[in-house]
Formats: sequence, structure tokens, C-alpha cells
Amino acid sequence: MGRRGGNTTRQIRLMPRKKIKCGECTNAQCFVKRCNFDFITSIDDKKNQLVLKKGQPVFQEGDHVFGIYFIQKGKVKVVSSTSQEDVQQIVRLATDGHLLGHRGYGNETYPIGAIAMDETKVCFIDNNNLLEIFKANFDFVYAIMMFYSTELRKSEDRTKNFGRMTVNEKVIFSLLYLIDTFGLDSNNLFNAVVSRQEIADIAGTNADQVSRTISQLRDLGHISTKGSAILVNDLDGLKSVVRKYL
Amino acid sequence: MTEIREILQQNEAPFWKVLTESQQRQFVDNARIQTTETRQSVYEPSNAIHVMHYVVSGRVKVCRHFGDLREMIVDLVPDGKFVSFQPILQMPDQIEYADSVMASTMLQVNATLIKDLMNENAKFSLVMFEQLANRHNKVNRKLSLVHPTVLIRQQIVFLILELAESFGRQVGYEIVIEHGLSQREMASMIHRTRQSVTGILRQLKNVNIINYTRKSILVRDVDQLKRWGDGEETLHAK
Repeated sequence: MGRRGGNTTRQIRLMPRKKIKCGECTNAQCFVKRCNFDFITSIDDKKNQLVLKKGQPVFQEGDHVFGIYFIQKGKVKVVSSTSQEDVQQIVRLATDGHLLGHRGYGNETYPIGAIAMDETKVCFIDNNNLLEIFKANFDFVYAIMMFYSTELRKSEDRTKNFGRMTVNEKVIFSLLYLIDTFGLDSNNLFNAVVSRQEIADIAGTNADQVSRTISQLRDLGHISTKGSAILVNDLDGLKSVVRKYL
Repeated sequence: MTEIREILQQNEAPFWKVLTESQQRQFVDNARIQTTETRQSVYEPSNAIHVMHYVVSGRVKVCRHFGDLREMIVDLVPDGKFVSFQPILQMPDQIEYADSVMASTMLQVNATLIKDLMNENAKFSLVMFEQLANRHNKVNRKLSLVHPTVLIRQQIVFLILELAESFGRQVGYEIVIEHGLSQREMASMIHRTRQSVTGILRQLKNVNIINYTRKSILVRDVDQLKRWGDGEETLHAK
């Protein structure tokens, strides 16, 4: 289960050469932008920035909770290990502007882990500085609570639906979750490189089953594939298969 | 009003301690006591938009309906917690509803006041945020149990430990959990049938790891329960 420690070392090791200041950051969705202008400048001294390569953990199950991570740019999967050591479940996906690693009551260590799915830049603010930001910026607090409430509802929807879906439906629902979080590019290709195994980890199945479902969807003309890339031809058609759960 | 103040002081509500005296006065002036019997509705999907519910005593289940009107319990709220955050966040559609699982006392407070207090008091904001974050963490942990490699015994051990965290009372080496849920409701929290939950609970009772009555569980050996959940131990009747 929990592999403890190592977080501080990793933070130092992964410090980027040049820190991007909040005032210069182009990520318009970042919650820090909800703070008043004077405060945004002061956050620059309080935050720590990390650049993670694909597959590197932002934090791991069992690490101590020191603060909160804001994704400046990139893609992250939040994972939970199961009883089998080589099996993990992706419980959440996060992208530009999203938050990671919030603490709840009694959560001194992370019950879940977070891993970069792509090169990812994150800003870290520790708990003490977070309280300072909370003190001065209600819009920031409110926006974060709104974000968590929306995420909570999405997680509840997935928990609710996964309990009664067929495996095929779970895979399609997971593809729609990927599209909802990371979006499609101008050519309708998935905006993230996601392996069949990762789709399986979201759906709670295996990679072979994902391949079978993808091949069925290809036969129906809803999607096309080239290697691991997925092109969506008919988003409405894809949604229609799981319409009763949406 | 004095009654509400006394209730909150006795209850040692985490939010109460961080409010200033004038904020406490505002809260008390605004709050209204609501009592419910077992299985009585606290709020319906449509009528909770403007009011927050704080549980003083008892248990409240927050539910959502499946398409076929079966119930899914998304959270079981103990005393000392707010039931839902949707009223302050003014989510567009109120799809949750809440019922008490045992006789409960709650305080109803206008959501606008809570929002104003959060605006004025950072520590209060933090308490509210952490409570919401905690619920989010719990749902994500539960989501990880949907994986087909997770065995039903692991799901039930997870559920018992989660109930112990919220409602458990340490008595010597044992933990008494007065959760107030029926076995059908326990099953709805982990998406299993009532029969499978009953079967596992009976197995655990037979080997004396737990004992249970209608609405409570006594965990006799929490370490053994965890080991069994992780598959490190098999069950032998004692």
C-alpha cells in the first residue's frame, strides 16, 4: 500500500530552472487568479514549482499531506491501489487549473496517489500559506469549494453508475470521462495519450476488454483508431450508448 | 436561543470555536432547531437550496436515486458535521436528498449567513473546506472499491472501518459502532446485495472478529479484521 517519505527530496530534485510567476502565468483557469492582485504577487514567494515527467508521481499513497498542488499545465491521474500490487484504479483525472492533494479531516497522509500522464507543471502551496490565502481571498475559497463540489458529483456519478453498468458501458463511460476532462483537439483526436491499460484502470477492467470495446465502437463508426490514438467520429453516437446514465 | 448556544458548546462543534463572539451571536439568532424521527426526511431533492443543516445528534444519510428509484447512500453524516454544501454553492440542480437513520437533532441555518461568515472568517472557511474535501476523499476511496479485483470482503472491511472512523467508540480493545443502518443500507453504500453483506458479517461473527446487532457493530479485533480484509489471514472458528 503506502510508500512513505521521499516527497521533500522529490520536490527539490524537480524544481524547474526558472520559476513562472503567477502574474505571468497564462493559465486563466488557475484558482490563484481569483485572489486579489496584490496577493497574487505575494504568492510567488510562497509557492514551489515542480516539473514532472510522464509517469513521475506528484505524491504517493501514504505520503504526508503538507499542502495543495495546482496544475499549471499537464495531465495527472489520481490512483488508488487495490489488493493486487500491480493493479491500480484511476479514481480521478485532472488537468490545467485543477487541484490535487487537498486534505480532509483526519487525513494526515494521502489515501491516494497522483501520477503525471504527460509532462506536467504543478505549483505547490503548503498548508500554512494556504491559510494565509484563505484569510484574504474569499473568492478563491469559494471557487475551490465549487470545484470540489463539482468533482464530488462526478465521482459520485461514477461510483453510482459503475455499480450497475456492463463492462462495455464502463469502457464507453470512461472514454467520455477522458473527453470531458482532457477534451478533443481540432481533428477530434483525444487530447491525451492514454494507453488501453489506463482506460482499463479508469473503467475497472482489463486492457483486453478495452480493446474489444474499442473495436466494437470502431465497427459502429463512432470512433477510429491509429495505434493508441483514438479519433472520435460521432460523439453523440458514443453518448447514446450510455445515455441512460448521463 | 440560549438553547442553541448551549447545544453548540456541548457539541464542541469545530466551526463554533473559530467564530468570534459576534459571529456566534449571528449564528444563534439565525439558527432553527429541527428534530426528525428515524427514517424521516431531512430535505427533499428540491427544497434545500437556501438552508444548511448541521447535525447536533443522530445520523443523517445523504442519498441519490438510481434511474429505477433504488437508493444509493453517498454519505452518512455523523453529529458535528454539515449535511450538504450544495446550498452555499448554489449548485444548479439539487439531486441529493437526506433522511435521518435514527432520531436526530439538527440546526437549520440560512446558507447566505454561512457564506457571509466564510467571507469574514478564514478559519471558518477552512473548517468548511476541509469538511467538503473530506467527503470528496471518501467518495474517491469508495470509487476505488468498484474495481472487479476488489473482493466483497475487502469492501465490507472498508465499510466497517469507515463506519468506525465516523461513529466508532473505543471500549478497551474493542470498537463499538452505533451506525444506525440496516444491512440493506450498508449494502447500498458499497453497491452489493443485502444477502452478500449479511453472509460476510455472519462469517466474521462466527469467528468472533465482530459481533453485531440490528443497528450496531462491535469490532472485537480491528487488526485481525484488517488482516483478513487484506487476505493475509483466513478465518477459523473459535
